[in-house]
Amino acid sequence: MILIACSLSSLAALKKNSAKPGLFMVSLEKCAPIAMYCMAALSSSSTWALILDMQGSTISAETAATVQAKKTATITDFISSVTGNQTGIMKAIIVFAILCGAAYAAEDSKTTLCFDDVVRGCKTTNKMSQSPISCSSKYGGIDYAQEYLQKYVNHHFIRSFEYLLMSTHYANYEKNRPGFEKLFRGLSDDTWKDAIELIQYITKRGGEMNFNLLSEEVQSEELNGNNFELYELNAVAKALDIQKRLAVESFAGHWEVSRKNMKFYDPEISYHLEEEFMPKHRDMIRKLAGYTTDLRSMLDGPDSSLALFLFDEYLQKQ
Amino acid sequence: MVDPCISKMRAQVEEELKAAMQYMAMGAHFSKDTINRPGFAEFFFKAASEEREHAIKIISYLLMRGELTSKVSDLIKRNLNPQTTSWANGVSAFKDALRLEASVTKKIRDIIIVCENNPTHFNDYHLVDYLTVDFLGEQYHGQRDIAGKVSTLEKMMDRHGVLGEFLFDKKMLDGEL
Repeated sequence: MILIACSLSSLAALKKNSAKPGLFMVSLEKCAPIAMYCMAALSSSSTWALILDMQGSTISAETAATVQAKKTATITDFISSVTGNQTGIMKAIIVFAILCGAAYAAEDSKTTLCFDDVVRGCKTTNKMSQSPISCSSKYGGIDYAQEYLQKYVNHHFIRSFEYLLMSTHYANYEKNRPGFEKLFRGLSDDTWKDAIELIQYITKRGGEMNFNLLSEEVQSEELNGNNFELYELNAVAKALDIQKRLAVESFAGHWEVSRKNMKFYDPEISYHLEEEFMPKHRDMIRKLAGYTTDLRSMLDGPDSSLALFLFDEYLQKQ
Repeated sequence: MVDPCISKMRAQVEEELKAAMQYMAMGAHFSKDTINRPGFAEFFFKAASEEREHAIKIISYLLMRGELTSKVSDLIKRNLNPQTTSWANGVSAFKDALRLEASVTKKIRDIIIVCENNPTHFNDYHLVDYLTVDFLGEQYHGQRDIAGKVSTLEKMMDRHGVLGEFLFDKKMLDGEL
């Protein structure tokens, strides 16, 4: 009785938690507290004797696998067949492992097919039932990667506006550097376009956009208070740092979907990040670093003002 | 340029960018596979980029007049997240867009009033003229365009429901509307 109650309750808890399919670690976390109570109850050999006596029949160990697949045989029969002559504690551990495995398998088979939903929905003679059907374009690791991608989009928007402010600063009459203005305006336009394309990509994979999420690193920046009215070398240095942050965040996403587990492994998302972001970032970072090298050496002499003017002219032509 | 006018113009930059992000949310909503209206999505994404261009136009005007030599970092804050992110159907989204455009128009009119009748009696003719002709002109054309779309879409959905919206979306995608 206790065993059946324990197993049913643990399965129920796991099914309730399978709203996010694929989070195996979370389901194990849920397994643990329930299984603890079960193990406590099961560890006493007297309980075992009681259960076995109630059943009175045994199944050979070979049918263990088929029983797990069918999910119809009583769990107690199954346990007595597998555990056999083990001690109470060993039986409890085996029970725990099997319960988690069965619940995981149950959760796994919860991903319904679009076709089945459509057949079910169209069965009624009235208009198509209003229950939701799982005919979305979700496949692979998008559920897992979605939050990361949303944060990456919002990161792009923030940087787009920051570059716009830097461009504005160089366009006022006091700085009057159209070359630097063009450089930062180009960065602003690029990050804006990238953000739009990434939103379209998220929706293409069946996800949706959330404009309120941000990664930890970007969120913590706000506390320092940012200054975008900088000298030329400082501004290019800041742009270089920003680009590196954007580039490294794409690596984080790549890692998220590269774990060798079918629920997370998604080479399509990693391919998209590799194609659309990594070369672009790499080239811009190299360009900006080159600019800092040039500026550093040219500003270190008597011709610094002229050097800035000529460098600005050069940037206008890029 | 003189003061209450300058602050109103500076504030308008953020207003335009907020409108851009609201359009972005509309575009994101209609791009979803469960909504699937690519014509609407393309219209709203383009509108988002246009609003950003308006913000840049305002910045350019201020720069031309010799402003924005200080406090540039305060011009755009980070709080530009959109208010609404989902709509029941295309009509409600377009009606929201119309309301959004109308609110931006009202704000531009407020700037005009402040810049015309400020306490130091500096009637900023050029700015008022620029806002009236360029900005208000574009606002009114945009509002007329969206209002027309709302009417047609409502009529199509009235008789033909989702089929009406489907056809309307495809026509928008092909540029026929």
